[in-house]
Amino acid sequence: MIHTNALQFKYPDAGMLGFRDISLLTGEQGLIKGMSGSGKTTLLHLLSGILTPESGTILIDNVPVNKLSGQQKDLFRAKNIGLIFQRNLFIQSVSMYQNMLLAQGVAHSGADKEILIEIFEELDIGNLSNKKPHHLSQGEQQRFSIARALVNKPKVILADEPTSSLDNANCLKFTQMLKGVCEKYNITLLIATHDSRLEQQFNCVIEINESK
Amino acid sequence: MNIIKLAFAQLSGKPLQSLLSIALFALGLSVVSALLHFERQTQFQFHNNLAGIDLVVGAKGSPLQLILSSVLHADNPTGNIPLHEAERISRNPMVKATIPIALGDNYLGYRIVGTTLDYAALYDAELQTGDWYKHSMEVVMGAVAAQRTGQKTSDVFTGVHGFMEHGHSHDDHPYTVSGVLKPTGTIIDRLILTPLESVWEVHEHNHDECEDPHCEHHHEHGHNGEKGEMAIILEKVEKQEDLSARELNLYNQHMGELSIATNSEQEITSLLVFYNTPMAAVMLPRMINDNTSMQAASPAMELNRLMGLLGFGMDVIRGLAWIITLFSGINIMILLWSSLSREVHELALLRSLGTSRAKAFMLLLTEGTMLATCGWIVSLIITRITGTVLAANSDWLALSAMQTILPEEMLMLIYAILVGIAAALLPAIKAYRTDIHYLLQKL
Repeated sequence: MIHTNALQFKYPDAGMLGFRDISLLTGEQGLIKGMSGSGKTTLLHLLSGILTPESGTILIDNVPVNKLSGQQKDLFRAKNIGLIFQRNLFIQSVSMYQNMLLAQGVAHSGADKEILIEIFEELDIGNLSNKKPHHLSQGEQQRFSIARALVNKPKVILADEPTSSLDNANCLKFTQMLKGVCEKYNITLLIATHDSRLEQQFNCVIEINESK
Repeated sequence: MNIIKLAFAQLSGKPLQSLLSIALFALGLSVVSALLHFERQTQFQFHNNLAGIDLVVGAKGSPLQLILSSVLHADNPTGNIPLHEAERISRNPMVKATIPIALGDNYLGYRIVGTTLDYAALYDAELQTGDWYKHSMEVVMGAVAAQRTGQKTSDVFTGVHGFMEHGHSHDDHPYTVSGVLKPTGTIIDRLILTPLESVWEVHEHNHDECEDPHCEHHHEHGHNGEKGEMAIILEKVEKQEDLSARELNLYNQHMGELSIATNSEQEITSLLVFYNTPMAAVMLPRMINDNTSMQAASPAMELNRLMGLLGFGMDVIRGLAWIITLFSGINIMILLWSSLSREVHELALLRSLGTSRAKAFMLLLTEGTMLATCGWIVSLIITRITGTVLAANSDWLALSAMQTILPEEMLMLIYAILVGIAAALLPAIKAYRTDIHYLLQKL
């Protein structure tokens, strides 16, 4: 599902950054490990088409992401990649439900309310969906972050340091939940983190620092 | 959720700032729009009220005052002119037609105008109820005057001397309403029309009351019984002797017929003149001003002069209004810019969800356009409410004219949208260029 080959990224004002090749099969769950500032976020942004690599190839679902135009990348990302950020980001002026619809709208897939209800049930947040983001706790917002990553039935979910602000209990709960839904919907999951608590839960751990 | 819904949600998410921006923008546009309406109303009023009157002849004094008093009925008259002098102008071959105007009294602030029925025809006035006046002391009321005073056909009222609502009342000379006119949207709506003879009759009796010795000769006629007097009058008419004003009135009343008398003692306030030939515009005013004790003034020229004076003030207000609009445009820009700075992570989120740069750009433009369009709509509402309130309290404003959207106001909508786009342009470019990688990394 995710394959990279000899990926290199050039920072505008710094040197070149090379990345170790990654290969994840459909439904596989992997962890990218590395210190802060080692380029984990950069790698995720390369995979999701937010950044463009200097050289090398990225194949996601057999699509060469690095060859797409800016607009094609945006649409590809909307349709195929669910992103989870370090902080919970929502449009504050609208309800959680509308935040979900917004994500569907961006992917031009039209509102699919059935899948929303299903996901809300899965994550046990259906009764919160009419609230606005600032009325929810961090934990609740995090569950909506997972929900939003799922609404377009993506092939891949990329999560960037999702657990860094969570305590041990919540960290475990969150990881279990994320792994659970990805297994259920057969989504390939890749988490970038420096959080060592996650390591024992993943079989596939990729150290990023080695190939710097 | 599409862009328009999202833009609306983003703006209503900060209601105070958005409303302030809209209010400020609306204020500027309202002033411009109110000026447009004011200009249109005055031009409309002037144009309609001039009704093709070429020249006004009245007593010497300020020409503008003469026009204001005799055409727009908005000022006191300059004085009176003898009827026989006015008659001479009427007989001038360059003159097509004339209409005499005799002012003097009012009823509850509405002027009682002694004139001929030609005056009503001048403004295409039609009867709503009742009949045209046939006799002295009968009046036909303009629509507004009738409505505001509550007078109906065959009601009776007494006039008050002068042009103020309160003053000496001519209690012994009641007027009878013979008819009420349909609204015309012109000055005639606010007038009470009566035969010239009524005005003469009322004021002749005024002289009776005065203690001036040379007035006394009127008493002889005044206290005779009408029946007996009529016989004397008819006798005089047969012998083709001169009649006094009162006798003529009684005669006219008796005959059910009106005509302008040529009695040398009779006076009118002014004479509205219509030219026969364009030459008259050059010849007639000079002739009258140089050779008679009267003055001639052209309504068109005097009103242009007046508009010229008003025009400067209006230009200043208009300039101010545009400045307000400009600054409110800048205010919209600051609002969009500062909220974009605060919500830049939301923009990064939208972009990372797959919203294209172009759409992020459009989102900001939509927000700006939305604010400006709301401002325009609010300005329409403000001017309509103000117009309705003003029209309800003023006889001078026609309400119907406020209810249409002027073509200039549609132009203002385009201007408003352009301002909205211009104000949103810088923030939109900022949104377009946003580096989401950089923003997300710094979370």
